Amino acid sequence: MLKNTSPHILDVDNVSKSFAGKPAVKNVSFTVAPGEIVGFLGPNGAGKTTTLRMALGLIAPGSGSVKLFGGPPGPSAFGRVGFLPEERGMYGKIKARNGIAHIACLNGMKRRDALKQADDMLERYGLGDAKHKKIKTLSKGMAQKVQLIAAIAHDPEFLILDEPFSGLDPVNQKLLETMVREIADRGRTIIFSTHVMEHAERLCDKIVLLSQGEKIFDGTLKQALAHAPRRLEIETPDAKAKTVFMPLADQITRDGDTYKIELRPDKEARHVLAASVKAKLNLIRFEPEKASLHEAFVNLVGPNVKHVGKGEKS
Amino acid sequence: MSAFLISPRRTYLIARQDFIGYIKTWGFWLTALGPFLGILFGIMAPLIMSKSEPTRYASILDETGLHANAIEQLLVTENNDGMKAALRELAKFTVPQKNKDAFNKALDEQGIEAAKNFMKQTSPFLAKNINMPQSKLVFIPPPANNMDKLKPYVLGTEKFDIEGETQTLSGVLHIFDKDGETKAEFWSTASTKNDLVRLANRYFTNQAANTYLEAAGLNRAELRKIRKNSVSVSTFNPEKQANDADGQKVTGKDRIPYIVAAGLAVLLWLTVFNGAYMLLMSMVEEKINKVLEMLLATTRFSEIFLGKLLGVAALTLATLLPWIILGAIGFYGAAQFADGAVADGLAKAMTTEMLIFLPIFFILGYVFYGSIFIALGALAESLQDASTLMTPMVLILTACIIVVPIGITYPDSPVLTAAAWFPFSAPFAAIIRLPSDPPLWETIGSVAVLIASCIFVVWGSSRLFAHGVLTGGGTASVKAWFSRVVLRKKNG
Repeated sequence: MLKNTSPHILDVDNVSKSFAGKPAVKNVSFTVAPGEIVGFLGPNGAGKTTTLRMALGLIAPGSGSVKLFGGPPGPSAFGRVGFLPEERGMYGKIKARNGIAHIACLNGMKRRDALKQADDMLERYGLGDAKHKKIKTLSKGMAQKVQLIAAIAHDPEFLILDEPFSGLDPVNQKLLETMVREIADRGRTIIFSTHVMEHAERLCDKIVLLSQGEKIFDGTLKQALAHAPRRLEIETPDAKAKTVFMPLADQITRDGDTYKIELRPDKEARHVLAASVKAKLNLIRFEPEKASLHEAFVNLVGPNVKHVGKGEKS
Repeated sequence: MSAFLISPRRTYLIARQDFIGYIKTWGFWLTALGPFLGILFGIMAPLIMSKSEPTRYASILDETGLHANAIEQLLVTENNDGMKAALRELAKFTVPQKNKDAFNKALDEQGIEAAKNFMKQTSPFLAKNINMPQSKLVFIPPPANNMDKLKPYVLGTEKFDIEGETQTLSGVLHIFDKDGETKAEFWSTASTKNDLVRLANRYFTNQAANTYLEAAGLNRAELRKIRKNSVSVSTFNPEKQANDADGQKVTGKDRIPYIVAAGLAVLLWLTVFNGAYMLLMSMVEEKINKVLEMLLATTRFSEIFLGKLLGVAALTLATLLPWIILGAIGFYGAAQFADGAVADGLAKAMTTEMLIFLPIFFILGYVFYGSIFIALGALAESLQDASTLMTPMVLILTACIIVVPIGITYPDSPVLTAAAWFPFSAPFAAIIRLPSDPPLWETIGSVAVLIASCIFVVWGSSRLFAHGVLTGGGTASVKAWFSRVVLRKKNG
């Protein structure tokens, strides 16, 4: 096992990859620090899965380099990483506990410990009744949970989850969020890809955003949200209100006495408040709207992106 | 090269998973127990059919008064001969070689009961449990003295009593003279039961031949004796040592090594076919299950590859175990009970070269074909894909089995020599050539060609495997892979 001399668990440096001449990932760089939960966001086909596969060493980058635990990804990291691939599946003919134990054993656990861990985790995540059932007899959601348990049963230092929420019903999405938080609370590092912003918004310390194979954002959730349009909802009966707001807003819509204002990038809500006070507007309501990651995403990616997962809310 | 570094534990876990995954299926046990079930069925079915068949009573209405007794006597004689032949066959597996002469003497001179008693002493268990089937055809005197009166018995409207039970007549053989010629008619409602007809036909054929020979002052017993003592051509081989037990004469035991080698080549072919098919199916199943990508995060390609080869090899061995056990029983039986020449021939088949090269060709043949089938399985997205990809390989394998009959009939054939250098046929051809003592360098050359081919195939298959697993595969991806990897058209 390589000793990690790098401050990062994962260091993706300027990697590119093409398939059949078509670029899938272009000069992507980002890092994942110990203990972070990183959301790897982007529409379908953005290059998330390819990047995660390169991070694991499953495929080699066409150019650039990847360091996992300070070394090249691959065998030296076996047992330290838990991976849930986008393509879901487990051995269909074996029992759930045996399937989990098999992956845990491959990750270095002793069989007896792996079976005990499998039983404990199946109980803990509501699948106690399924432990002796063959995986092919389980529902899709249950089988997906079994696979997730298989990915984390050996308690890896670093967890890579590729679209972990897809295919799960809202209840199980919530359960998965709880699982991710529990793992993170134990000091483990997690990167998960998704195109559903709400999960990232609730879970992530850091966001990496890909679009058409290129990284278009890498920063904290707060920084990401700064890219979302900031809006205010103001209620005032004053007829001059629109004139007061005009220099500060990109867009103003009016519905009776209620104004919806989209702020200019260089303006803050406090500027509108100051201008309102200065103009002696009779303010009945002054309400800044919470920025959403989805809007930040659309703002960053641009209007042509069609696969933003707004419709897949939990 | 890290691709060739392997963790024994992970390789074992992959192998174990493949082995356990299949061994728990019904299909495996049906395949494994198939030979035993087949043999059991083959033995039991005729016995059960024979036991369940009711005794059939038949009469001969012989108006000539010349043939009835002789036909009845022929039935008794044929039954005895059949029983003797069956006892002789049974004795091959129950009477040790050293007691064979005494057994044959008892059978020939003292009859069937004496032979059975002899067998009970040498193999009490077998002799006690094997009941020799008796003929179900029993002759009774005709219950009426003409055919018109007998027909109601044949139709079942009239019955008769025998040993306290009421019975029906299954048929009547009516023999009579008409227009100076002897005629025979069989009357029965069971038109498919023809054994009495066949018996009578044999009797009349023999009788005609005897009459013809006797008319010329000859008899059949003498003819048989003369034919038995006629000149027989012996074959000699100058390559054989004159001081061998048989001198330079070619005997049946000289052919045994070729037959054994052919059997081993067929066993290898079955192993390859069976194992390769299981590898392909295992790969397709895991692709359909989509578990491979998860495995690859914990296991090297090479470990999955080798684990699968080992797991399926163990599985193939388990599947073939019944055949191996049967073969071993056959070898043991031949050594213990068969003609000494057979035992000698078997010993001659297992030469030092055979014992050294047989496992080598088994392993190389399995690795060569197994690797190809793993790669094909990794490229397949569905069972239909697998079938399409497998067809050319099945054709190649089927073409390779042709070396077996060539090896038995023409062991020095140039075709066989060439086949031993061609990697697809080399494992089978090289094994079957061994009894004809090819130059050692040629056999080692075949091994070298196969090793080089295996390295190339494992390398290529590993790359195809990696490509197939991570790209989704499909037959179209083979073309893409070929273009990218083999033709080195860079795009990444």
